[in-house]
Amino acid sequence: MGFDWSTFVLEIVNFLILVWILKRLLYVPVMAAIERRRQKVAAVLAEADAGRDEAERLRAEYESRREDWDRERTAARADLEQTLNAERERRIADIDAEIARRREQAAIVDRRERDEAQRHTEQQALALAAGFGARLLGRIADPALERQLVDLFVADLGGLPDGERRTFAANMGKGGEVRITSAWSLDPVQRAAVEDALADAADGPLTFSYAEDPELIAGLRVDAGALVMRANLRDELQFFAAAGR
Amino acid sequence: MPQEEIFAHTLVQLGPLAIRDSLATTWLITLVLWLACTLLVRHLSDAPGMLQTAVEGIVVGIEDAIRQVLPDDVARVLPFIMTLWIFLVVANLAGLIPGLHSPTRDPSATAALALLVFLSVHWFGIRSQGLRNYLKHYLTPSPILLPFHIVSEISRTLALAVRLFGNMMSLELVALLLVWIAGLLVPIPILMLHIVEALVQAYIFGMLALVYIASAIQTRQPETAKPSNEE
Repeated sequence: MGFDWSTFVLEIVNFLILVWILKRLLYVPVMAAIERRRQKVAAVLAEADAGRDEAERLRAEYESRREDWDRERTAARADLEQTLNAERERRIADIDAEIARRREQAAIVDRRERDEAQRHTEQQALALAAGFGARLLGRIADPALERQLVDLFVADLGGLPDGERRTFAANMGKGGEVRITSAWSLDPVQRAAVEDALADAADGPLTFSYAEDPELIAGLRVDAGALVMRANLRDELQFFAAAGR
Repeated sequence: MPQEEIFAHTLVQLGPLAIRDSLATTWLITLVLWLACTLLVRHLSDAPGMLQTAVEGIVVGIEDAIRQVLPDDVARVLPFIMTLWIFLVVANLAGLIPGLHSPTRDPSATAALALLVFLSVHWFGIRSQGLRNYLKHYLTPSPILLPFHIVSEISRTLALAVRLFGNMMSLELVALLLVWIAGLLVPIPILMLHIVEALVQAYIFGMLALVYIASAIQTRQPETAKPSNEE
């Protein structure tokens, strides 16, 4: 049981050797292994953090893109609505203009139809008036009226202005044939008055022929080449009826 | 009951050197630890198995225990304290193996460990604070306390050696007495107590050594914290 110096010294040496062995073979390698594993874990965590950061970045980028898309979509929708509104207003304006134009055309057509109807009515009225006048004048026509009309013709022919008289003479020519148609038979005096007036207007001798046409009602009609002079009631009534056309 | 069964005895006498059974057991423990560490180091991997996990747990546990006492000097103190703990646990439990006895039942072995602790305290203290600052703490707060400091140093070293020796010696003695008196089955609870006591004594010895070293390092810590070039 006693104290032994050799054991004491050798125990000290042995322990120091054991300290060296455990430090070299246990503490350093085990701590190195732990440190390696810790670094690997740190690397994995860093990688995970990097992945998370990348995911966050991608998410932020996606959000930004989505916001951009939303803005673009909103702007495009606003542009589209603006374009549609402009197009609608343009089409409405076109339609309004078309409606106005058609309304104006309809008004013109309506006015034209109304004028046509009025004119037709007037023509009918004039025709009726002419027919009525012809029947009435046909009942009251007689040689006296015939005479008055011949006198009126002679008076008018004699009162022609110089310009018309020269035109009349140029159309009649020298020695032209003149056909005189009357509703009633002209007596020699009347014929002579008419022939003198015509010869005087033509400023030269003419050849005359006579015919009767009761359709003239009263008065006469003179055919001198291309020139026709009407001094009878039927032609006057026809003039009256044609004046409304 | 033969005395060789209870007390350490000389196996071989090589001139002035007496090779006791406790020293032989210490050599055997050293050899086993060396072989175990060599095999372990060869099989260290980044995907640790149960054995590697257990060893890493032991090392990290010891490191954490030291860090709680000496957070700034873990790497410096760890090899010594770790070796102390591991050697004492194995040495204290070696008595459970039939034919072997705990080396710590030999006062020469415990005195050697206590002397190593005594020297390491001053070694780490001087390395940490410098010789002058370290020696100055024996004169504080008053030079009158110097004899008491010296007595304290010697007495606690002696206490370390005697405490470990006395406890392990008594454990072995009680176990042998029970085996001698009551046969094989009765001592089993006492053997369980042996395990607990062996672990407790290893822990106490190592923790006291750590506390002594920490007190030496931290004696002038506020003054020595800034000038690290004093070492």
